[in-house]
Amino acid sequence: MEESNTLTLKRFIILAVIAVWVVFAMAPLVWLFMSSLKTRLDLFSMPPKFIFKPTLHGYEALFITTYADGTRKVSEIIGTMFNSILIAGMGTILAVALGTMSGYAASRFEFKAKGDFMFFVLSTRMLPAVAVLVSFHIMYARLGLADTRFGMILLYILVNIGLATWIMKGFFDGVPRDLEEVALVNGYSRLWAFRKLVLPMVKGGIAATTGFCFIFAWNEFTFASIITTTRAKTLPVRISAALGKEGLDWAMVAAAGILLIIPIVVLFYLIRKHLLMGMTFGVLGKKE
Amino acid sequence: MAEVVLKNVGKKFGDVVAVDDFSLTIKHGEFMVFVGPSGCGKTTTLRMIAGLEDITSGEIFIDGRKVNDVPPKDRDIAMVFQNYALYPHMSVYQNMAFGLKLKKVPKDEIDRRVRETAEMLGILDYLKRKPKELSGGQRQRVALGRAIVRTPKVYLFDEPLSNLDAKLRVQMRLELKKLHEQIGTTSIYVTHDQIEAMTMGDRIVVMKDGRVQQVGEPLEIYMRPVNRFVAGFIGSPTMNFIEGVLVEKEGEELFVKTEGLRLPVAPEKKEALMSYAGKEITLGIRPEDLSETDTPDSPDTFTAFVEVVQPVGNQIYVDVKVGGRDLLASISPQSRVKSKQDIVLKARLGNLHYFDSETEAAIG
Repeated sequence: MEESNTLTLKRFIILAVIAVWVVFAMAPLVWLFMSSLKTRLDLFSMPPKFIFKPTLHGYEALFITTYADGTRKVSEIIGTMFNSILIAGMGTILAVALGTMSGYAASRFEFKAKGDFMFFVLSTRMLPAVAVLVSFHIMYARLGLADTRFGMILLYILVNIGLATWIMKGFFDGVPRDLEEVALVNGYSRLWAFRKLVLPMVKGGIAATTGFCFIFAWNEFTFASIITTTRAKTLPVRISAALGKEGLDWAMVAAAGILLIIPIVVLFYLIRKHLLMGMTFGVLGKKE
Repeated sequence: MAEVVLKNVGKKFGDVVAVDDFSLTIKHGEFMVFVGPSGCGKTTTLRMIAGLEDITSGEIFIDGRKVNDVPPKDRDIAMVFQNYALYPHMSVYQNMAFGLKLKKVPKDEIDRRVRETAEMLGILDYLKRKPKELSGGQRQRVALGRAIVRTPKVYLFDEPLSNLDAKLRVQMRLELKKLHEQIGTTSIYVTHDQIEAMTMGDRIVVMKDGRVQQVGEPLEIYMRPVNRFVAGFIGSPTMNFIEGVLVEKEGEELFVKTEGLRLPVAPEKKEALMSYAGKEITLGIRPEDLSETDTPDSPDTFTAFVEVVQPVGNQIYVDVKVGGRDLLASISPQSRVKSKQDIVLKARLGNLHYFDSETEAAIG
């Protein structure tokens, strides 16, 4: 009896801590979501209103631009969103694909100056963006890559590939070599062993790496704000720009914030199962 | 069936020499064992034969074909690993059929071969199970089966019995040997266990620090080790080594002298040892070449003080002290010897080993 009581108490404390944490984490999001549905009046009312008549005005302002003569057009935000999805998506997919391959090579093969090479790969993540911003700006301008989606994809591959290589190397290190070697001596090629045996075993790792890389590419502001101006502009840049126009339409900004969150939520929802596996790799994942 | 030839094979990891100038011809159908302490290069050599490690220098031939640059999959070999390396998501049947599928062997042929092999190994009832539902011994049989079904030219075994408990190991040792006699395929077997090497090998390669120390049949290596390392490594319990001086008396008699011990050299070894007269040498005595005697006056005897008596059933191991030196003797179980008393031991002179104290090479 005693024991079950302490157990219940322990459970209660754990749940309470989690509940507090959830409130802390979720409160800003809830606030953001509510703000996106409020009228200007409700937004600034004191004390803050929790019950109000929701309006889609913020979203309308985000997606539809009304001109002085009364004509209404779909806002350029659609194009910006497309840019963001394309650039962050492609940047992530390619970085993870390349990082997976180089991570495998780093895990399985010995080559000259491997330690130096791996440090170099890691060092691409060490410099703050500001430090290389000017050189990138000049380089991109001269190469004609400035304000192009292609240029931005290249940039995000570059920034993410180091991270992807290191994370994936860690996951490959956790896969016993014997399993591949059995395949090799049983008549299978290394490529086959890589694709059919090793890759399925690091699914969790790939999911986790994809998550990290996508968050970075999707949120990235510093480079995007300097290198893109119109054609390749991404959402974070666009939203920050919105802060300046015709006073502040906070509901619209909030709506844009929600818009920014959705793809990440969707991505993590899709990969959540693998992600859990990836995070606990080595604890649960290695058992025969 | 195939011959495996290694010519001056070497392997370096950076600046570390793992295998140095390894030359060996493994005959058709031979069961060759590589044995040595860990880090001696035996596994690396096996992995080079398998193609899992690049060769730094030298050449390897399998069935007459140079395979230096041939990928493992094209070498027609099968390998059994220490930790079995079964695929956890595949059933026993799938694990075994796995290598055949690729070769486009017809389905019913695969089925026949898997069942035949499973029967031979006594795992026919487990074909549908997953590896995690099997015991260690059963898993090892599956790993063996996976290699056997493929009927390759050469089998490679990398310490396949090391993870099994002692009893099962003895049993599997016997089964593997029987299996080899039945199938007759050239096999290379790596182990650090000298008993495994002695009992299973047609021939043994003893390695140390990346170098071949001696190649030969088990008993030949046991009887005539070429150096102190091989003498100490092969044989259980381990050979006793005694530093002493070779003394010549009136050009006739030759004997090893050290504190508390004076043993004459057997006549057949005199000639080879003559040039060492007056020099320091190392005397090697296997515990089983010492026996208890009640004639203390004979020249081939010496008195020792018994420290510990360890009966093991078929014999008694006696730890003794002679001139401050520890020796082990393996004597008859009929002995009434007790600890903390003197014992007279008789050495079988013809079986004694002599080593150059500097080079550690065997003399004679």
